[in-house]
Amino acid sequence: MARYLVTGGAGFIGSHLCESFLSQGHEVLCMDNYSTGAKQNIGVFLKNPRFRFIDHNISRYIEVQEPLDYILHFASPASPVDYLELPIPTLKVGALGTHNTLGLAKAKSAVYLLASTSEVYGDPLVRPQTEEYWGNVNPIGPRGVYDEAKRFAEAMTMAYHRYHGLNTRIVRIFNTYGPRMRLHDGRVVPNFIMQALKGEPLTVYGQGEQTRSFQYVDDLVAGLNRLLAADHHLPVNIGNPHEMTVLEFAKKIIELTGSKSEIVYKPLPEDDPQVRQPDITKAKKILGWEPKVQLEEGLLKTIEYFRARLAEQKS
Amino acid sequence: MKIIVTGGAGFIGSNIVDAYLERDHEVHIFDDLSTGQRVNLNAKATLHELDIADRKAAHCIEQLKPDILCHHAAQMDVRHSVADPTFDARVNILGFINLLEAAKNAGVKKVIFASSGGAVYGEQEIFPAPEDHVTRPASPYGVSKRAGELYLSYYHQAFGLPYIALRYANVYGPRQSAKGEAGVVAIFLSLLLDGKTPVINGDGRQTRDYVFVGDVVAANVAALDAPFVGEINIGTGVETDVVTIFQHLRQAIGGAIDAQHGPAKPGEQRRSVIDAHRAAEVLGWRATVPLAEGLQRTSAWYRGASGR
Repeated sequence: MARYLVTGGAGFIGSHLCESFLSQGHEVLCMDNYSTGAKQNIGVFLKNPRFRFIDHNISRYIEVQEPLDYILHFASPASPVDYLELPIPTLKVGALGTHNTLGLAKAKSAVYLLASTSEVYGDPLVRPQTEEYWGNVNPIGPRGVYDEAKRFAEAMTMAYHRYHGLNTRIVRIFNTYGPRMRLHDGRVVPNFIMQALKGEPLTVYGQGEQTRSFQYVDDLVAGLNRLLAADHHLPVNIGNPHEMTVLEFAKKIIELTGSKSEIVYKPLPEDDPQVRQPDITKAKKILGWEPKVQLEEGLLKTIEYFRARLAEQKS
Repeated sequence: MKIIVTGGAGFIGSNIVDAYLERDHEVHIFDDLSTGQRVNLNAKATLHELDIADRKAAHCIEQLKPDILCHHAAQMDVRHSVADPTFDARVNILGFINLLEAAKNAGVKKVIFASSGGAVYGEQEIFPAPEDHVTRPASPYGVSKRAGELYLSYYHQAFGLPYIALRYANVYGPRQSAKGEAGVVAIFLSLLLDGKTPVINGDGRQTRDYVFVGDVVAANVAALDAPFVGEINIGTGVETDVVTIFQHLRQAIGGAIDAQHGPAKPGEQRRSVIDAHRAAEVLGWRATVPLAEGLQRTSAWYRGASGR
């Protein structure tokens, strides 16, 4: 049995990590300040004697008494609607939060995993993106608060690895969806599902011909488990390279929800991001990992979750 | 020697290719990459991207005129053979006859055939089963593998084409795919590495004879020069149950996970183990890699520690 600290453990991805480690028989310390995380995401674990919740802002000094084997730093606002609302906390948790958790990992001789993002590639000039691509980021643009925080966090993690010999991992996570995503997260998957379930029209920008790729959260968690077990310190992309157009995606969600919603077209906003598509050659090679969950299967589970949450809200 | 390895991009085939190349043989791979993986291909071998049931594969043998045909291409999914026996027979029987006809015409000196101990014997009467054990295949896959042996026997009688049919026990090791109905070792390892809980069918006390792929490769090397013609079991003679396999793997990975037990699979064989005395006599072969070590090496490979 090992002990894991998951920062942002009450968030969407963090809570799935807690669940995975608990189901493997390990102990989990979950640290979160519910800034964008939610109590209900970890409600089911609270009764588990191997689970402990610590209400703490990771950008402040962290103290943990017990030994730790793994530290996973997942705390951060991650959706554009959040980090545009919380620009300074976003920069702080990427910078100070990363520094604090790295210091803790050094003190505990724990394996450290940094949750980085495909956003480090910014508005990429190459496609698909391999880990060797340095990115194309505007440091002073509105999205820069998240992109640069994560780029700094990667630099800090590599510095701890190189200077202190810390056993580190960096994962660059691409678009991920699944249960425990927030209903008003603002991204296209929850948007479409909410609109479809409420019978409202699905909003597609432009002709809906821009493409997106999404990975189901179970695939990501599998990849992270594999990355923790691998001896690789450079960043690894984890995402699903399967692309579809936004319009195809909207139609799929209408079909799977059985909704009568129509699709409405609005003009394409100027900052609609260019396509990001992961090159996962490295993950395949080093981790023997690739996505397994079919889009339909993942969407059905996500829709089921959203439906249940909406029913709770009504009652 | 000039050797064709069919299925040379697959799990067992690719490991054999590497060993033949190390011994300075000229190796040609026939593989349609339907389940074989490009990453398994050895750059020193020549790949012929071919369906073995296609005329082109026969032409290719007639032109290459190899010394040895080592046949490991197959439809290898037992469950799929039940769902689509026609497809199974098309690949495993018609595909093989296609190659045998060409081998006969090309003057091939020997055919080495990957057969399956577990599948051709079916429900066993004697434990471990020797080669003369009655064969009662319990799946179309077992039937097609047994048919391959019978065709070999016919080609040997009628045209003097020598052959060795290696009846494998449950082979495990690096490069085994966890997709579809693969071996329990690959499936469990993949789940454990993903952080997921493997499900053991029934009580997990069903036994198999687990042989490491490195040992199977050694048998294919020994078969090149052995003067014997006929069927040879390639196994350990030792029965191991699924619960024990799981415990070894969990230890190799260092996990704390407990397996779940699901319902027993109806019709699943309770015990399967084969007698490898003939292999010792005629090939000078015996399994040398102990289970714990083999599982350790396999898990190291899956974790990427040994590189791919």
